[in-house]
Amino acid sequence: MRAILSASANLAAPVMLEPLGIGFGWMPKLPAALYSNDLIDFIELAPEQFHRESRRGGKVELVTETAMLEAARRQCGSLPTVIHGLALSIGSAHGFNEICLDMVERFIRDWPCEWYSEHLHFQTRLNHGRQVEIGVPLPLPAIRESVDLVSERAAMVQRRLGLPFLLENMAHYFTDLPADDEVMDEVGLMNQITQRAACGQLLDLHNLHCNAINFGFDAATALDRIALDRVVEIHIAGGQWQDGYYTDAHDRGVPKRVWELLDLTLAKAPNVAGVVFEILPEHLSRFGTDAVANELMLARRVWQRHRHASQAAPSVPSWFQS
Amino acid sequence: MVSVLTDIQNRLGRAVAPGGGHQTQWPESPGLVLTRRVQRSWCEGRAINAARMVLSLLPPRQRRELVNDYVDGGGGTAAFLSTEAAAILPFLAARLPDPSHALSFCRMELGLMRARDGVSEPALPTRGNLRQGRHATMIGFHADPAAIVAALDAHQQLPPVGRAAHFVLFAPGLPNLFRAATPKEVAVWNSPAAAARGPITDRMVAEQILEQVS
Repeated sequence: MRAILSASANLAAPVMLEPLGIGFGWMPKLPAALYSNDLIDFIELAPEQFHRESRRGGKVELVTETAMLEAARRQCGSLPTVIHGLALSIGSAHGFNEICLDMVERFIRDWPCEWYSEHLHFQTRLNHGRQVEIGVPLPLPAIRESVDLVSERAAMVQRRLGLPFLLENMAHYFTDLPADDEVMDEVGLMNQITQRAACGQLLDLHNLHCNAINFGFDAATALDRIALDRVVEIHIAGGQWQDGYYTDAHDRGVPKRVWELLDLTLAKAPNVAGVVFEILPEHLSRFGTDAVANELMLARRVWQRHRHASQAAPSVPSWFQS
Repeated sequence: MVSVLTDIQNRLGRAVAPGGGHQTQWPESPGLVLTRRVQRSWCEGRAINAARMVLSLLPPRQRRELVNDYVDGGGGTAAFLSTEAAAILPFLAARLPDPSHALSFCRMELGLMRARDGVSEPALPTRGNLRQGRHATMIGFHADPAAIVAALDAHQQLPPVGRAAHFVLFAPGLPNLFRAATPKEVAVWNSPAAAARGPITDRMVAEQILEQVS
C-alpha cells in the first residue's frame, strides 16, 4: 500500500509516500539502542530543538545548534525522518512565523524528510503592534476566515518546501468558540482546510479523545466525519484528569480507548504512512524506557494487523485526481 | 478594520495571559481557567529549563519566588529555549545576591550565550587599539567552579563564597567557548588599552577575547 499526497502545484508528479510504520521522537536522554532496533521504523524530529534564536543588529535569525544536530544524526540518521514543527503558528491572524519556515527550509535541505507537519492553532498575537508569544497553543474558531487564512498558507508551505504538509488537530478546553454554520466545528475546519490546500492531516487520536470526553461527543462517530483519505500520520499518547477535564498531558501510556480508535482509523484511512507514540521528555525518567518500548510494540501490533491486510490492494485516494 | 479572527485571537490571547483575564471581554469558563493553568505551568517549565543550573544553586523558596515573579511579569512564553534563557538570565542577574555562586553561574551562562553568538561574526581589523571583545566576558567565581558543580551533582553543601579568585574567560574563539584566565590575562582584560603588546595579547586577540579598533 502506498500513501499518495498531492504535494503541490509546482511539483510535476504527486509525492508517493511509502508507509513507514512506527515512529518516535528524538530524545537525547534515551538510550541509543531504542533507535537502532526493530522498535522504530522512522524518527520524528522537531526542527526547533536544533536551533536557537540569535539577534544581531535588530535582525532575528535561527542558528543551528550543530553539536545537538550531529548527536541526533549519529543516533538516528539512518532512519527515515519526518519533521513535526512547533513554532510556525500557522493560524495567527497577523502572520505566521516566517523565520521558522526559513529554518525548516534550510533544515530539510540538510536532512531530507518525508513530510512536514505542524499544528492547526495560533500561539502568537499582536500587542500594541508587536508580536508576542502567548505561551500556550490556542484553537482557531471554526469560521470562514480561519479556513481562508490557513488553507492559503498551508498550500504556500507545501509549494515552497516541495514536501507534503500535514496539519494536526489539537486538544483544547473551550466550548464557547465562535463557529460559522458552513464550517461548523473543528472537524469541518480541518476538512475544509485540507481540501482547499490539498494538504494532509496528522490525526492526533489522543487529542480527538480528549475533546470527545471534554465536549461530550463520540470520537468514533467523529472519525466518520473526518476526511480520512487525507490522514497521512497518526499520533497516539496518554493524558490525565485535571480540574474536571481530561488533558493532553503526554505523560503516560496510551489509554485503551485510543488504541481502539487507532484500530478503527487504520481500518478506514487508506493513506496512513506512520504512527507516532508521543511522550514529553520531562516524563521519561518516571515512565521509563521499557514502558516506551512496550507502547511502540503495541502500536506495531495494531499497525501490522491493518497494513499487512491492505498491502494486497493499494488504493489511490479520490482527491488525488482533483 | 480589525478582522473577526484578529479580534477573537486578541481577546482569547489576552484572556489567557497572566493578569489579563478581566479586561478581555472573553467569558470566564472552567475551560478558560484550565487553559490559564496550563499556560502558567508551561511558562514555569520553560523558565526553569532555561535557567536550570542557576536556579539549582538557590534554596527552593527563593527559586519558586523568582520563577513566579518572572512568569507574573509575562516571562516563560518563548518558543525557543535560547530566547527564554536570554530573557530570564538578566532578570535573575538583577535579583541575585552579589556575591553569590548563583550570580557567578548566571553571568557565566550569559557569557556563554554572548560567545556563542559571536562564533560566526566576521573578523575585525588586525591593527589598532585593544579593547574587550564584543562577544567576550570574564567572570570571577567565588570558589572553584568545578567544585561548585561537583557539590551540586553530589547534592552536597556548596563551597563557601570567598573572594573572586577563579577567573574564567568566555569568547567565540575559544575551544568550548571558555578557559581559565591567568593573573596576567586578568590584568590585560581589565585594562586592554594600556596592555603592552606581546604573546599574551596576541593570543587573546586570536581567541577573540580582545579585539582591535582601528
